[in-house]
Amino acid sequence: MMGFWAVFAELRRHPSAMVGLVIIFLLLVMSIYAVIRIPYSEAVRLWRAGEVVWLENPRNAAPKWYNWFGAGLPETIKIETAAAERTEERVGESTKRVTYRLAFDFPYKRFPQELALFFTSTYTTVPPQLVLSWRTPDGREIPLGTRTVRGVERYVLSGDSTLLRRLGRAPEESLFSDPKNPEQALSGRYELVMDVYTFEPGASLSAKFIVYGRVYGWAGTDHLRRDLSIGLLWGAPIAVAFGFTAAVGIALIQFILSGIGAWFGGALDILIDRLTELRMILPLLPILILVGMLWSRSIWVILATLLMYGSIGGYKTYRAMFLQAREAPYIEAAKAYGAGNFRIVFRYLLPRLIPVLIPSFVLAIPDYVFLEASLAVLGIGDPILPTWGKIINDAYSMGAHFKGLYYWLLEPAALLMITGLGFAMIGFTLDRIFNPRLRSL
Amino acid sequence: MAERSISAKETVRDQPNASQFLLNVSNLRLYFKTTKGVVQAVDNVSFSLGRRRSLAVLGESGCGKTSLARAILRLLPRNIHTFSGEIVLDGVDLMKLDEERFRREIRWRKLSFVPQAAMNALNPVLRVGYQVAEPLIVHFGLDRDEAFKRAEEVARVVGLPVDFLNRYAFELSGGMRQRAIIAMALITRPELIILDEPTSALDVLTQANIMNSLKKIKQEFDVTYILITHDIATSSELADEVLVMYAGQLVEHSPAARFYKTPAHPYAQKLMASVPTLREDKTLEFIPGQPPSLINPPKGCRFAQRCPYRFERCAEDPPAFSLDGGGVARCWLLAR
Repeated sequence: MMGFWAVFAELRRHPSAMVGLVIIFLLLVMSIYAVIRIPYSEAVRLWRAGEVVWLENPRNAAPKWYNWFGAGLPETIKIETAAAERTEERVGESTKRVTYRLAFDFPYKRFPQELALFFTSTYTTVPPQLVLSWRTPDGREIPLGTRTVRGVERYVLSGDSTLLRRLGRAPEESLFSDPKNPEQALSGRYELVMDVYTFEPGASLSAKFIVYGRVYGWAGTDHLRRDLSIGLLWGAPIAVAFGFTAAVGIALIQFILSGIGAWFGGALDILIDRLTELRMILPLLPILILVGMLWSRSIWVILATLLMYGSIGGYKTYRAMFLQAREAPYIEAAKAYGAGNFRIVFRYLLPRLIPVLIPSFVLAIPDYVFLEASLAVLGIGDPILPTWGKIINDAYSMGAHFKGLYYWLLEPAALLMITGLGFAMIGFTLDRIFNPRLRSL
Repeated sequence: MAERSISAKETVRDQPNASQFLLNVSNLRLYFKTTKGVVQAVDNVSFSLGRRRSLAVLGESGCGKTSLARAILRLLPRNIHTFSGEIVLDGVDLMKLDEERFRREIRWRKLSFVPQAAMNALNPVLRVGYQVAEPLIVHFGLDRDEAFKRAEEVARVVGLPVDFLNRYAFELSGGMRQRAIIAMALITRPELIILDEPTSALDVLTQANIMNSLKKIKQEFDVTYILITHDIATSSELADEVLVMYAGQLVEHSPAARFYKTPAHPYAQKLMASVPTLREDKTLEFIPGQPPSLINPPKGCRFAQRCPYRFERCAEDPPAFSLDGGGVARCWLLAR
């Protein structure tokens, strides 16, 4: 039996295994980082919260690194009244006018995605009012109308149909367009001027202006403005845990069951063999879909179903190997000195075939990672957890590939492929190490 | 062959004082089912063995030596046709014990075994020391450390360097593995050890070494051996008694001193004549023909086909005749 370090030393001689180890190491680091950085409950809350939590993010924004390749996509700009230039003037007995100049640099050629103002006002009877106007870098001034702000409000300029009608074009485009080239944004310093009228002493209004860009974070956002990085990060621990648990669980149960069946033989052997044959004609995917539809789509239920389904498989091959190993002289010797059946099975019979077991379960891990993703893509994945499969499912159902939002599909797909690749590289090398006959191949 | 030598009558017939013997086998039959028919591997074998005696079981390949050992150990294959008779070990009738009691009370507590393929009889995934110690852990519930200490003691007795106990079986030479197996057989201090070809596949020096160890062990541990071998020269080193089998039957059971000088049964004589000697210049003899098939063996004496002294009575089954100087043999020539 090779020790761990002997196997590791052997692995080091294979570059592909080292690449695989590095990939798995990075995956583990990513998983640990995800779990520590965003606790489980927080991840679930963020992922399931819907648009409210993510209001300040752009919708369907590409990852920031798109700009490294010269995409020139605008980033999101946020300006708050608290940080803006402010002039105050008393215009009546209790009427006060505060002028805010929300100035920002817009160095992009592409138009922003949306424009929105978030207000918070305090008053007792008469709500504050405001007059908005827009100043472009070339000195034009465009009035944007007046508003009354009652409490907490959101005003989406880009969605204002009155404004659209008046400007003749979507506000986020017409306000930014270059008069010389209307299809391009004019870069330079813009200003949103807010004249806030308060009619009571103590009344106030604060605002935050957001110019939504078209890039966000390292992973981009989806149709619900969610930060994909949360889903991608959290997908790693879920994929690895699911794949590992399923693969190890199934391999071990199959292995032990086969060992016991082959050792005791007789009725037990026949029973397991028949169950295996029964299982062979039962299709996995429809069973999982049924369980998902009728019972629960929790990842644990799926895992349990998978364990039950998978555990009775593999008997045919393992049995053949165990039947051969059972006749080994040292097993007879163990029997002769009075070792009990379970001692023989667990100390003598099973360890004999561990070299076959280890590569097979390492190779099986990506299968289950992919299975979980496939279920999610089919819409029967866990509805709560952020997983790679679910991101692909969202992207697919929202037509990401038609809209050119390739990052949305390709990021989770790439992570899945890299995961599979890492385990496959190690698995094949382990197979070579443990099954020396393959070495010459 | 001094005061404890066993007379012919005692050997064959029921003993009033059976406890004098460690092992009493009577009318043991072990038949196997095969696709061609029933193989009578051990057919009606009876013998007794006293305490602290060594019995060499001789015979050519396929004569049922190993089957006899397996029948006593109850290490049986799955295709059993008949397994009957009586095996009394230290006053306990083994045939009446169920599998679980046999495992707990007999195996390795009273009876241990050094298997034929000793080279492969060690688990490749366990350290040798653990395996040597394992019977103590299984049968006496000793903890690991204590069992290991005992394993070290036994290893010293059999001449296995103590640091070898930390190795795996594949790191040991054939002789060392054989010693490890013998150590394993000794560790529970059983009364009877069955050695199935303990020195086959080893070079002569190692053979001699192991035979000497076995002799030493016999003195130190007060054990009784059943030594199964086809190597007559080796058996002479250790045996107090010799049991010769032919075609599944016992043909002669004699004290060693007499047997090696003057074997009684014609088959035993031929067998002895086939052994090369170092100094005498003699033509080695062989027995023409081959042993009969154990499926439907011939009636009467099974050796008759190949026997130079064959006569009419050989068509009948010969009973066991007691011999001068102790022992029994099944041959009509010895009828008086």
